[in-house]
Amino acid sequence: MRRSLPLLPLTALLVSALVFGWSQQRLSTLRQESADPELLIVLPRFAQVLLAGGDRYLAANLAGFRVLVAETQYMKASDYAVQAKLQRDIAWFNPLHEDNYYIAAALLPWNGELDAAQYVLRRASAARRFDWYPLFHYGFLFYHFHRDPATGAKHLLEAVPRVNNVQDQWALQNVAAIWIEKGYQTGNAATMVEAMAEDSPAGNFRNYLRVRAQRLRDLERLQGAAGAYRERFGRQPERLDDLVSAGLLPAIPQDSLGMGFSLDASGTPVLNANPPVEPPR
Amino acid sequence: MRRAPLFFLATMLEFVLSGLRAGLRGRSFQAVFILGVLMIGIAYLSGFFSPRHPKTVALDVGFSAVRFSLVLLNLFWVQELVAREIDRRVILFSLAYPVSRASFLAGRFLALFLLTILAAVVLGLLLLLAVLLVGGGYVQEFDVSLGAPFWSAIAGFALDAAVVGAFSLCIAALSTVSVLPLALGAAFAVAGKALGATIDYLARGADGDEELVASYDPLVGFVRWLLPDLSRLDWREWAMYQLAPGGDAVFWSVTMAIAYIGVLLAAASLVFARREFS
Repeated sequence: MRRSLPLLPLTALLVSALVFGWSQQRLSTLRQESADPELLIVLPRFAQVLLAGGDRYLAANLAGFRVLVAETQYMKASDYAVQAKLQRDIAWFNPLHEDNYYIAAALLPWNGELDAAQYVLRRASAARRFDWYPLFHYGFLFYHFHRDPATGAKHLLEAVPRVNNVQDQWALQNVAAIWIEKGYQTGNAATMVEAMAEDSPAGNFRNYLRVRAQRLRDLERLQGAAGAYRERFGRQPERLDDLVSAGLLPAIPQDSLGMGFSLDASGTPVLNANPPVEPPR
Repeated sequence: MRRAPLFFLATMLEFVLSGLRAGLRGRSFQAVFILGVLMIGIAYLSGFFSPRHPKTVALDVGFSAVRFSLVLLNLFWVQELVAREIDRRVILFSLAYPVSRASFLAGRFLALFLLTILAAVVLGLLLLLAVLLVGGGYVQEFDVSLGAPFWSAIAGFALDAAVVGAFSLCIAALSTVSVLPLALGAAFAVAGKALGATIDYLARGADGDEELVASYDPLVGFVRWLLPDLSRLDWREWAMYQLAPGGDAVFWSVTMAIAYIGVLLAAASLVFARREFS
Protein backbone atom coordinates (compact mmCIF):
# COMPACT_ATOMS: atom_id res chain seq x y z
CA MET A 1 0.00 0.00 0.00
CA ARG A 2 1.37 3.38 -0.92
CA ARG A 3 1.86 5.66 2.00
CA SER A 4 0.10 8.98 1.58
CA LEU A 5 2.17 12.09 2.03
CA PRO A 6 1.72 13.65 5.44
CA LEU A 7 -0.72 16.50 5.02
CA LEU A 8 0.39 18.94 7.70
CA PRO A 9 4.08 19.34 6.74
CA LEU A 10 3.13 19.55 3.10
CA THR A 11 0.63 22.33 3.78
CA ALA A 12 3.17 24.15 5.91
CA LEU A 13 5.74 23.86 3.12
CA LEU A 14 3.38 25.23 0.52
CA VAL A 15 2.12 28.07 2.71
CA SER A 16 5.65 29.07 3.69
CA ALA A 17 6.82 28.99 0.08
CA LEU A 18 3.89 31.15 -0.95
CA VAL A 19 4.44 33.66 1.85
CA PHE A 20 8.13 33.78 0.99
CA GLY A 21 7.45 34.40 -2.68
CA TRP A 22 4.89 37.05 -1.86
CA SER A 23 7.16 38.89 0.55
CA GLN A 24 10.04 38.77 -1.93
CA GLN A 25 7.78 40.22 -4.56
CA ARG A 26 6.64 42.99 -2.19
CA LEU A 27 10.22 43.74 -1.22
CA SER A 28 11.35 44.06 -4.80
CA THR A 29 8.98 46.99 -5.23
CA LEU A 30 10.19 48.72 -2.07
CA ARG A 31 13.34 50.76 -2.33
CA GLN A 32 15.86 49.89 0.34
CA GLU A 33 16.58 52.86 2.58
CA SER A 34 20.22 53.43 1.83
CA ALA A 35 22.42 54.27 4.72
CA ASP A 36 25.23 56.75 4.23
CA PRO A 37 27.77 54.71 2.34
CA GLU A 38 30.93 56.28 3.68
CA LEU A 39 31.27 56.77 7.41
CA LEU A 40 28.25 55.82 9.42
CA ILE A 41 28.72 55.71 13.13
CA VAL A 42 31.32 56.23 15.78
CA LEU A 43 31.34 54.08 18.88
CA PRO A 44 32.10 55.67 22.22
CA ARG A 45 35.82 55.77 22.95
CA PHE A 46 35.60 53.09 25.61
CA ALA A 47 33.78 50.71 23.35
CA GLN A 48 36.47 51.25 20.75
CA VAL A 49 39.25 50.55 23.27
CA LEU A 50 37.48 47.45 24.57
CA LEU A 51 36.86 46.14 21.06
CA ALA A 52 40.58 46.51 20.43
CA GLY A 53 41.27 44.29 23.46
CA GLY A 54 42.05 47.29 25.66
CA ASP A 55 44.82 48.33 23.29
CA ARG A 56 44.50 52.05 22.52
CA TYR A 57 47.08 51.94 19.74
CA LEU A 58 45.09 49.28 17.97
CA ALA A 59 41.91 51.29 18.53
CA ALA A 60 43.67 54.27 16.90
CA ASN A 61 44.69 52.18 13.91
CA LEU A 62 41.25 50.63 13.44
CA ALA A 63 39.62 54.05 13.45
CA GLY A 64 42.42 55.30 11.21
CA PHE A 65 41.67 52.66 8.58
CA ARG A 66 38.04 53.75 8.55
CA VAL A 67 39.09 57.32 7.87
CA LEU A 68 41.56 56.26 5.18
CA VAL A 69 39.23 54.04 3.19
CA ALA A 70 36.43 56.62 3.02
CA GLU A 71 36.35 58.14 -0.45
CA THR A 72 36.65 61.90 -0.17
CA GLN A 73 34.73 62.62 -3.36
CA TYR A 74 31.57 60.88 -2.10
CA MET A 75 31.51 62.47 1.33
CA LYS A 76 28.82 64.82 2.56
CA ALA A 77 28.79 67.23 5.49
CA SER A 78 27.36 64.54 7.78
CA ASP A 79 30.21 62.21 6.77
CA TYR A 80 32.72 64.87 7.66
CA ALA A 81 31.10 65.29 11.07
CA VAL A 82 31.62 61.56 11.68
CA GLN A 83 35.14 61.72 10.32
CA ALA A 84 35.89 64.64 12.64
CA LYS A 85 34.67 62.60 15.60
CA LEU A 86 36.77 59.62 14.52
CA GLN A 87 39.85 61.77 14.09
CA ARG A 88 39.38 63.35 17.50
CA ASP A 89 39.18 59.83 18.93
CA ILE A 90 42.36 58.76 17.15
CA ALA A 91 44.11 61.85 18.47
CA TRP A 92 43.05 60.79 21.92
CA PHE A 93 44.03 57.12 21.55
CA ASN A 94 47.38 57.92 20.00
CA PRO A 95 48.19 61.61 19.51
CA LEU A 96 51.46 60.62 17.83
CA HIS A 97 49.64 59.10 14.84
CA GLU A 98 51.14 60.78 11.79
CA ASP A 99 48.45 60.03 9.19
CA ASN A 100 45.79 61.27 11.54
CA TYR A 101 47.07 64.81 11.98
CA TYR A 102 48.04 65.03 8.34
CA ILE A 103 44.59 64.03 7.08
CA ALA A 104 42.92 66.20 9.69
CA ALA A 105 44.93 69.20 8.51
CA ALA A 106 44.23 68.50 4.86
CA LEU A 107 40.50 67.67 4.99
CA LEU A 108 38.68 68.75 8.12
CA PRO A 109 39.03 72.56 8.18
CA TRP A 110 37.96 72.82 4.54
CA ASN A 111 34.80 70.91 5.28
CA GLY A 112 33.42 72.79 8.24
CA GLU A 113 35.27 70.90 10.96
CA LEU A 114 37.75 73.51 12.06
CA ASP A 115 37.43 72.73 15.78
CA ALA A 116 38.23 69.06 15.27
CA ALA A 117 41.24 69.94 13.11
CA GLN A 118 42.47 72.27 15.83
CA TYR A 119 42.04 69.59 18.50
CA VAL A 120 43.89 66.94 16.50
CA LEU A 121 46.73 69.28 15.59
CA ARG A 122 47.07 70.62 19.10
CA ARG A 123 47.44 67.12 20.51
CA ALA A 124 49.83 66.10 17.74
CA SER A 125 51.95 69.22 18.30
CA ALA A 126 52.21 68.48 22.01
CA ALA A 127 53.03 64.78 21.55
CA ARG A 128 55.27 64.88 18.48
CA ARG A 129 57.97 67.06 19.97
CA PHE A 130 60.37 66.04 17.20
CA ASP A 131 58.05 67.04 14.34
CA TRP A 132 57.46 70.60 13.15
CA TYR A 133 54.64 69.87 10.69
CA PRO A 134 51.76 69.73 13.19
CA LEU A 135 52.67 73.18 14.52
CA PHE A 136 53.00 74.45 10.98
CA HIS A 137 49.52 73.18 10.06
CA TYR A 138 48.17 74.49 13.35
CA GLY A 139 49.57 77.93 12.53
CA PHE A 140 48.04 77.72 9.05
CA LEU A 141 44.59 77.16 10.59
CA PHE A 142 44.92 80.50 12.34
CA TYR A 143 46.31 82.18 9.26
CA HIS A 144 43.77 80.96 6.74
CA PHE A 145 40.62 80.05 8.62
CA HIS A 146 40.69 82.52 11.50
CA ARG A 147 42.34 85.21 9.38
CA ASP A 148 44.73 85.72 12.28
CA PRO A 149 48.21 85.83 10.73
CA ALA A 150 49.89 86.99 13.95
CA THR A 151 48.81 83.93 15.98
CA GLY A 152 49.58 81.71 12.99
CA ALA A 153 53.08 83.15 12.79
CA LYS A 154 53.55 82.59 16.52
CA HIS A 155 52.98 78.85 16.09
CA LEU A 156 55.30 78.79 13.08
CA LEU A 157 58.04 80.32 15.19
CA GLU A 158 57.36 77.74 17.93
CA ALA A 159 58.06 75.08 15.30
CA VAL A 160 61.45 76.52 14.31
CA PRO A 161 63.52 74.75 17.06
CA ARG A 162 62.09 71.41 15.88
CA VAL A 163 63.48 71.82 12.37
CA ASN A 164 66.77 69.99 11.81
CA ASN A 165 68.33 71.94 8.96
CA VAL A 166 69.13 75.62 8.89
CA GLN A 167 67.58 76.24 5.48
CA ASP A 168 64.16 75.03 6.55
CA GLN A 169 64.47 77.06 9.73
CA TRP A 170 65.07 80.17 7.68
CA ALA A 171 62.21 79.32 5.33
CA LEU A 172 59.84 78.90 8.26
CA GLN A 173 60.96 82.15 9.86
CA ASN A 174 60.59 83.86 6.51
CA VAL A 175 57.00 82.66 6.12
CA ALA A 176 56.23 83.81 9.66
CA ALA A 177 57.71 87.22 8.90
CA ILE A 178 55.63 87.57 5.71
CA TRP A 179 52.48 86.60 7.59
CA ILE A 180 53.11 89.20 10.27
CA GLU A 181 54.18 91.90 7.81
CA LYS A 182 51.59 91.55 5.07
CA GLY A 183 48.65 90.01 6.90
CA TYR A 184 46.40 87.52 5.13
CA GLN A 185 46.92 87.03 1.40
CA THR A 186 45.06 84.48 -0.70
CA GLY A 187 48.13 83.77 -2.83
CA ASN A 188 50.12 82.81 0.28
CA ALA A 189 47.43 80.39 1.36
CA ALA A 190 47.42 78.86 -2.14
CA THR A 191 51.20 78.38 -1.97
CA MET A 192 50.84 76.56 1.37
CA VAL A 193 48.19 74.19 0.05
CA GLU A 194 50.21 73.56 -3.13
CA ALA A 195 53.19 72.65 -0.94
CA MET A 196 51.00 70.25 1.06
CA ALA A 197 49.82 68.62 -2.18
CA GLU A 198 53.35 68.17 -3.49
CA ASP A 199 54.35 66.69 -0.14
CA SER A 200 51.62 63.99 -0.36
CA PRO A 201 51.94 60.65 -2.11
CA ALA A 202 50.38 60.50 -5.58
CA GLY A 203 46.69 59.61 -5.65
CA ASN A 204 43.25 60.96 -4.82
CA PHE A 205 44.45 62.75 -1.76
CA ARG A 206 47.04 64.77 -3.64
CA ASN A 207 44.52 65.55 -6.39
CA TYR A 208 42.07 66.79 -3.79
CA LEU A 209 44.66 69.15 -2.31
CA ARG A 210 45.57 70.38 -5.78
CA VAL A 211 41.95 71.23 -6.45
CA ARG A 212 41.84 73.13 -3.16
CA ALA A 213 45.01 75.02 -4.11
CA GLN A 214 43.65 75.77 -7.58
CA ARG A 215 40.49 77.27 -6.07
CA LEU A 216 42.64 79.59 -3.98
CA ARG A 217 44.69 80.53 -7.05
CA ASP A 218 41.46 81.31 -8.95
CA LEU A 219 40.21 83.35 -6.03
CA GLU A 220 43.48 85.24 -6.00
CA ARG A 221 43.00 86.08 -9.69
CA LEU A 222 39.43 87.20 -9.07
CA GLN A 223 40.52 89.37 -6.16
CA GLY A 224 43.28 90.89 -8.30
CA ALA A 225 40.78 91.66 -11.04
CA ALA A 226 38.35 93.18 -8.51
CA GLY A 227 41.18 95.44 -7.29
CA ALA A 228 41.91 96.52 -10.84
CA TYR A 229 38.18 97.14 -11.39
CA ARG A 230 38.06 99.43 -8.36
CA GLU A 231 41.08 101.37 -9.58
CA ARG A 232 39.69 101.77 -13.04
CA PHE A 233 36.06 102.64 -12.26
CA GLY A 234 36.35 103.98 -8.72
CA ARG A 235 33.61 101.67 -7.44
CA GLN A 236 33.07 98.02 -6.44
CA PRO A 237 31.98 95.45 -9.01
CA GLU A 238 28.35 94.47 -8.46
CA ARG A 239 28.53 91.03 -10.02
CA LEU A 240 31.43 88.76 -10.85
CA ASP A 241 30.48 89.04 -14.51
CA ASP A 242 31.41 92.75 -14.36
CA LEU A 243 35.05 91.67 -14.20
CA VAL A 244 34.67 89.76 -17.47
CA SER A 245 32.71 92.48 -19.25
CA ALA A 246 35.35 95.06 -18.19
CA GLY A 247 37.89 92.85 -19.96
CA LEU A 248 39.84 92.13 -16.75
CA LEU A 249 39.30 88.36 -16.99
CA PRO A 250 38.65 86.15 -20.01
CA ALA A 251 36.02 84.19 -18.03
CA ILE A 252 34.95 83.42 -14.46
CA PRO A 253 37.08 80.45 -13.37
CA GLN A 254 35.29 77.10 -13.13
CA ASP A 255 35.38 75.60 -9.65
CA SER A 256 35.97 71.83 -9.83
CA LEU A 257 34.37 71.38 -6.40
CA GLY A 258 31.17 72.91 -7.75
CA MET A 259 30.87 75.57 -5.01
CA GLY A 260 31.85 78.55 -7.11
CA PHE A 261 32.73 82.10 -6.12
CA SER A 262 30.71 85.15 -5.18
CA LEU A 263 31.11 88.74 -4.02
CA ASP A 264 30.80 89.61 -0.35
CA ALA A 265 29.13 92.79 0.96
CA SER A 266 32.27 94.85 0.35
CA GLY A 267 32.51 93.66 -3.26
CA THR A 268 35.49 91.36 -2.65
CA PRO A 269 35.42 87.93 -4.34
CA VAL A 270 35.14 85.05 -1.83
CA LEU A 271 34.79 81.27 -1.98
CA ASN A 272 31.29 79.92 -1.60
CA ALA A 273 30.89 77.58 1.34
CA ASN A 274 27.96 75.77 -0.31
CA PRO A 275 27.06 74.98 -3.89
CA PRO A 276 24.89 77.70 -5.48
CA VAL A 277 21.14 77.05 -5.33
CA GLU A 278 19.72 75.95 -8.68
CA PRO A 279 17.03 78.39 -9.91
CA PRO A 280 13.59 76.74 -10.03
CA ARG A 281 12.56 75.65 -13.49
CA MET B 1 66.48 18.19 55.20
CA ARG B 2 69.20 20.34 53.62
CA ARG B 3 68.49 18.72 50.32
CA ALA B 4 64.90 19.97 50.26
CA PRO B 5 65.48 23.09 48.10
CA LEU B 6 67.52 21.04 45.65
CA PHE B 7 64.81 18.44 45.47
CA PHE B 8 62.24 21.18 44.89
CA LEU B 9 64.34 22.53 42.02
CA ALA B 10 64.83 19.11 40.51
CA THR B 11 61.15 18.24 40.55
CA MET B 12 60.32 21.71 39.27
CA LEU B 13 62.70 21.15 36.39
CA GLU B 14 60.84 17.96 35.54
CA PHE B 15 57.60 19.91 35.39
CA VAL B 16 59.27 22.60 33.28
CA LEU B 17 60.50 20.06 30.76
CA SER B 18 57.24 18.16 30.56
CA GLY B 19 55.44 21.50 30.28
CA LEU B 20 57.66 22.63 27.42
CA ARG B 21 57.13 19.38 25.58
CA ALA B 22 53.36 19.44 26.05
CA GLY B 23 53.20 23.15 25.23
CA LEU B 24 54.97 22.80 21.91
CA ARG B 25 53.02 19.71 20.93
CA GLY B 26 49.59 21.07 21.77
CA ARG B 27 47.06 21.65 19.01
CA SER B 28 45.91 24.96 20.41
CA PHE B 29 49.47 26.25 20.50
CA GLN B 30 49.87 25.50 16.84
CA ALA B 31 46.51 27.07 15.99
CA VAL B 32 47.20 30.25 17.91
CA PHE B 33 50.69 30.45 16.53
CA ILE B 34 49.38 30.26 13.00
CA LEU B 35 46.89 32.98 13.96
CA GLY B 36 49.82 35.11 15.16
CA VAL B 37 51.63 34.62 11.88
CA LEU B 38 48.46 35.56 9.98
CA MET B 39 48.07 38.69 12.08
CA ILE B 40 51.59 39.73 11.23
CA GLY B 41 50.58 39.27 7.60
CA ILE B 42 47.70 41.66 8.29
CA ALA B 43 50.15 44.09 9.88
CA TYR B 44 52.18 43.97 6.68
CA LEU B 45 49.10 44.69 4.58
CA SER B 46 47.91 47.45 6.90
CA GLY B 47 51.10 49.35 6.09
CA PHE B 48 49.68 49.94 2.62
CA PHE B 49 46.82 51.93 4.12
CA SER B 50 49.14 54.63 5.33
CA PRO B 51 50.03 57.46 2.97
CA ARG B 52 52.72 58.96 5.21
CA HIS B 53 54.28 56.31 7.42
CA PRO B 54 53.60 52.74 6.21
CA LYS B 55 56.38 51.20 8.31
CA THR B 56 55.13 52.84 11.50
CA VAL B 57 51.57 51.65 10.91
CA ALA B 58 52.72 48.11 10.06
CA LEU B 59 54.86 48.09 13.19
CA ASP B 60 52.02 49.48 15.29
CA VAL B 61 49.47 46.92 14.11
CA GLY B 62 52.13 44.20 14.33
CA PHE B 63 52.88 45.06 17.96
CA SER B 64 49.19 44.80 18.77
CA ALA B 65 49.13 41.44 16.99
CA VAL B 66 52.13 40.16 18.93
CA ARG B 67 50.61 41.24 22.23
CA PHE B 68 47.28 39.64 21.35
CA SER B 69 48.91 36.39 20.24
CA LEU B 70 51.17 36.12 23.27
CA VAL B 71 48.27 36.67 25.65
CA LEU B 72 46.15 34.12 23.81
CA LEU B 73 49.02 31.61 23.76
CA ASN B 74 49.47 31.99 27.51
CA LEU B 75 45.79 31.44 28.14
CA PHE B 76 45.76 28.29 26.03
CA TRP B 77 48.95 26.99 27.59
CA VAL B 78 47.52 27.39 31.08
CA GLN B 79 44.44 25.60 29.83
CA GLU B 80 46.49 22.78 28.39
CA LEU B 81 49.27 22.43 30.96
CA VAL B 82 47.31 23.03 34.15
CA ALA B 83 43.54 23.30 33.85
CA ARG B 84 43.08 20.24 31.67
CA GLU B 85 45.44 18.14 33.79
CA ILE B 86 43.33 18.97 36.81
CA ASP B 87 40.12 18.41 34.90
CA ARG B 88 41.15 15.02 33.60
CA ARG B 89 42.73 14.03 36.90
CA VAL B 90 46.06 13.46 35.12
CA ILE B 91 47.55 15.64 37.81
CA LEU B 92 47.01 12.89 40.36
CA PHE B 93 49.76 10.85 38.67
CA SER B 94 52.17 13.77 38.96
CA LEU B 95 51.28 14.50 42.56
CA ALA B 96 51.37 10.84 43.58
CA TYR B 97 55.16 11.17 43.81
CA PRO B 98 56.58 12.85 46.86
CA VAL B 99 56.77 16.28 45.24
CA SER B 100 55.38 19.53 46.50
CA ARG B 101 52.42 20.97 44.71
CA ALA B 102 54.16 24.33 44.64
CA SER B 103 56.92 22.83 42.51
CA PHE B 104 54.28 21.74 40.00
CA LEU B 105 52.89 25.28 39.73
CA ALA B 106 56.31 26.94 39.70
CA GLY B 107 57.56 24.47 37.09
CA ARG B 108 54.54 25.00 34.91
CA PHE B 109 54.81 28.77 35.16
CA LEU B 110 58.47 28.67 34.23
CA ALA B 111 57.64 26.48 31.25
CA LEU B 112 54.95 28.99 30.31
CA PHE B 113 57.41 31.84 30.55
CA LEU B 114 60.05 30.09 28.45
CA LEU B 115 57.46 29.22 25.82
CA THR B 116 56.34 32.87 25.83
CA ILE B 117 59.88 34.09 25.27
CA LEU B 118 60.32 31.61 22.43
CA ALA B 119 57.04 32.66 20.78
CA ALA B 120 57.88 36.34 21.29
CA VAL B 121 61.24 35.94 19.58
CA VAL B 122 59.77 34.08 16.61
CA LEU B 123 56.83 36.48 16.18
CA GLY B 124 59.21 39.42 16.69
CA LEU B 125 61.50 38.20 13.91
CA LEU B 126 58.52 37.76 11.58
CA LEU B 127 57.28 41.26 12.38
CA LEU B 128 60.75 42.64 11.78
CA LEU B 129 60.75 41.05 8.35
CA ALA B 130 57.24 42.36 7.58
CA VAL B 131 58.20 45.92 8.56
CA LEU B 132 61.39 45.81 6.51
CA LEU B 133 59.44 44.68 3.45
CA VAL B 134 56.56 47.12 3.74
CA GLY B 135 56.55 50.47 2.01
CA GLY B 136 58.85 49.41 -0.80
CA GLY B 137 61.15 52.25 -1.71
CA TYR B 138 59.16 54.94 0.11
CA VAL B 139 61.40 56.80 2.56
CA GLN B 140 59.52 57.95 5.63
CA GLU B 141 60.42 61.29 7.09
CA PHE B 142 60.42 59.77 10.57
CA ASP B 143 61.82 56.27 10.41
CA VAL B 144 61.17 53.44 12.86
CA SER B 145 63.91 52.03 15.14
CA LEU B 146 64.17 48.29 14.75
CA GLY B 147 67.08 47.60 17.10
CA ALA B 148 66.95 47.70 20.90
CA PRO B 149 63.75 49.80 20.96
CA PHE B 150 61.94 47.15 18.93
CA TRP B 151 63.06 44.28 21.13
CA SER B 152 62.31 46.20 24.30
CA ALA B 153 58.72 46.57 23.11
CA ILE B 154 58.56 42.82 22.37
CA ALA B 155 60.00 42.09 25.83
CA GLY B 156 57.32 44.33 27.35
CA PHE B 157 54.59 42.34 25.60
CA ALA B 158 56.14 39.06 26.76
CA LEU B 159 56.09 40.31 30.36
CA ASP B 160 52.52 41.54 29.90
CA ALA B 161 51.52 38.09 28.64
CA ALA B 162 53.33 36.45 31.55
CA VAL B 163 51.26 38.49 34.02
CA VAL B 164 48.10 37.33 32.26
CA GLY B 165 49.45 33.75 32.30
CA ALA B 166 50.11 33.96 36.04
CA PHE B 167 46.61 35.26 36.66
CA SER B 168 45.11 32.48 34.60
CA LEU B 169 47.27 29.94 36.43
CA CYS B 170 46.02 31.27 39.74
CA ILE B 171 42.43 30.88 38.61
CA ALA B 172 43.20 27.36 37.34
CA ALA B 173 44.58 26.47 40.77
CA LEU B 174 41.32 27.25 42.51
CA SER B 175 38.67 26.82 39.85
CA THR B 176 36.70 23.65 39.37
CA VAL B 177 35.28 24.86 36.06
CA SER B 178 37.84 24.19 33.38
CA VAL B 179 37.09 27.10 31.03
CA LEU B 180 37.16 29.68 33.82
CA PRO B 181 40.94 30.31 33.60
CA LEU B 182 40.55 31.04 29.90
CA ALA B 183 37.51 33.31 30.24
CA LEU B 184 38.67 35.23 33.32
CA GLY B 185 42.21 35.43 31.96
CA ALA B 186 40.94 37.06 28.76
CA ALA B 187 38.81 39.51 30.74
CA PHE B 188 41.81 40.30 32.95
CA ALA B 189 44.00 40.92 29.90
CA VAL B 190 41.51 43.39 28.42
CA ALA B 191 40.77 45.13 31.72
CA GLY B 192 44.44 45.45 32.66
CA LYS B 193 45.30 46.84 29.26
CA ALA B 194 42.37 49.28 29.23
CA LEU B 195 43.07 50.51 32.76
CA GLY B 196 45.72 52.98 31.60
CA ALA B 197 43.35 54.49 29.05
CA THR B 198 40.61 54.73 31.69
CA ILE B 199 42.85 56.47 34.21
CA ASP B 200 44.05 58.83 31.49
CA TYR B 201 40.48 59.60 30.41
CA LEU B 202 39.38 60.39 33.94
CA ALA B 203 42.53 62.37 34.70
CA ARG B 204 41.83 64.58 31.70
CA GLY B 205 38.36 65.35 32.97
CA ALA B 206 36.43 62.82 30.81
CA ASP B 207 35.71 65.43 28.12
CA GLY B 208 34.14 67.72 30.69
CA ASP B 209 31.74 65.11 32.08
CA GLU B 210 32.14 65.94 35.77
CA GLU B 211 29.45 63.53 36.87
CA LEU B 212 31.31 60.64 35.24
CA VAL B 213 34.57 61.65 36.91
CA ALA B 214 32.87 61.97 40.29
CA SER B 215 31.27 58.52 40.11
CA TYR B 216 34.10 56.53 38.52
CA ASP B 217 37.21 58.19 39.90
CA PRO B 218 36.97 56.53 43.36
CA LEU B 219 36.17 53.17 41.75
CA VAL B 220 39.14 53.32 39.38
CA GLY B 221 41.28 54.62 42.25
CA PHE B 222 40.39 51.46 44.15
CA VAL B 223 40.66 49.07 41.20
CA ARG B 224 44.20 50.16 40.41
CA TRP B 225 45.34 48.58 43.67
CA LEU B 226 43.91 45.24 42.60
CA LEU B 227 44.56 45.27 38.87
CA PRO B 228 47.96 45.99 37.34
CA ASP B 229 48.05 48.67 34.64
CA LEU B 230 49.30 46.48 31.80
CA SER B 231 49.46 49.43 29.37
CA ARG B 232 52.53 50.49 31.37
CA LEU B 233 54.39 47.56 29.81
CA ASP B 234 53.71 48.92 26.34
CA TRP B 235 56.89 50.66 25.17
CA ARG B 236 56.15 50.71 21.47
CA GLU B 237 56.50 54.48 21.15
CA TRP B 238 60.25 54.12 21.40
CA ALA B 239 60.44 51.93 18.29
CA MET B 240 57.72 53.82 16.43
CA TYR B 241 58.48 57.44 17.26
CA GLN B 242 61.90 57.38 18.94
CA LEU B 243 60.30 58.46 22.20
CA ALA B 244 62.19 56.44 24.79
CA PRO B 245 60.28 55.74 28.01
CA GLY B 246 61.80 57.15 31.18
CA GLY B 247 64.16 54.80 33.05
CA ASP B 248 62.13 55.27 36.21
CA ALA B 249 58.88 54.40 34.50
CA VAL B 250 60.35 51.24 32.97
CA PHE B 251 61.93 50.14 36.24
CA TRP B 252 58.74 50.56 38.23
CA SER B 253 56.56 49.00 35.56
CA VAL B 254 58.76 45.89 35.43
CA THR B 255 58.89 45.76 39.23
CA MET B 256 55.11 46.11 39.39
CA ALA B 257 54.64 43.28 36.90
CA ILE B 258 57.11 40.90 38.58
CA ALA B 259 55.67 41.62 42.01
CA TYR B 260 52.16 40.98 40.72
CA ILE B 261 53.28 37.68 39.22
CA GLY B 262 54.82 36.85 42.63
CA VAL B 263 51.57 37.62 44.42
CA LEU B 264 49.56 35.51 41.98
CA LEU B 265 51.90 32.52 42.10
CA ALA B 266 52.11 32.62 45.88
CA ALA B 267 48.33 32.82 46.19
CA ALA B 268 47.99 30.01 43.65
CA SER B 269 50.33 27.70 45.56
CA LEU B 270 48.56 28.45 48.84
CA VAL B 271 45.19 27.59 47.38
CA PHE B 272 46.53 24.64 45.44
CA ALA B 273 48.22 23.07 48.46
CA ARG B 274 44.88 22.87 50.25
CA ARG B 275 42.88 21.75 47.29
CA GLU B 276 41.25 18.36 47.40
CA PHE B 277 40.87 16.35 44.24
CA SER B 278 37.79 14.22 44.38
